[in-house]
Amino acid sequence: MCLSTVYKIEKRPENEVLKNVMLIECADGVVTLTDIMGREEKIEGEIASADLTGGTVVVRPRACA
Amino acid sequence: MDHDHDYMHEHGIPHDHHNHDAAHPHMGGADHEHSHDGGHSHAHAHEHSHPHTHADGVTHTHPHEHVHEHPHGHDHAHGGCPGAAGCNSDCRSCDMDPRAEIVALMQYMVNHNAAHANELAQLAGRLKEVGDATACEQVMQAVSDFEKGNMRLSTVLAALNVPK
Repeated sequence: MCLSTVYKIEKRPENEVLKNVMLIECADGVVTLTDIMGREEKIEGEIASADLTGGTVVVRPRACA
Repeated sequence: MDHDHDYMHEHGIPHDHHNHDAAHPHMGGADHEHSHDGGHSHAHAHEHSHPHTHADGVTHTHPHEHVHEHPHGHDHAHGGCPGAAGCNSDCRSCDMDPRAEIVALMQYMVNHNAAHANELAQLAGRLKEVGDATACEQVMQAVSDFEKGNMRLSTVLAALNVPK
């Protein structure tokens, strides 16, 4: 619903990956983030949590099998 | 006692060089711009005032310019650029237009607010369905106020969209 800020591993300022994220796509172990300006960031891992009221998404590296 | 002087120095006066936008005012009124990536040193000049006390007990403040060098060991965005914290651009090569991003965010929020206004109107309708006509009326009044505010934002947005 709202734009999100995406963090790697945990929600800490230094872990911020991208702000104003409007699209998140997950495929083949890669999370692709697109912000409102169309900038794209790719992170290897998976979505650990998405707080849709807080506008916060956390991506964590995929655990080894 | 007022005097001005220029000199190189290091000082222990706490002032924040780590959380700032590209342009920021100092006490002396000198604004300056600089850009940098994390993990390097750079020098810049600025004017500002330090209150200090002399041996004779006289405390005064005077403006002065100085140049100092300080290291940065962090990532952050400058120039009003709200870009990614992990951005590796040195900004000079960045084609991001901060104004365009502000306009895009404003546009998004205006649309978003309109969607929320619609959702609130639907909630008002549901309140009426469950027999609370008074609450329905109050929510619709709030929706009206909300839309007025959003209209004001739309006007600002329209002005922002006019090429400068």
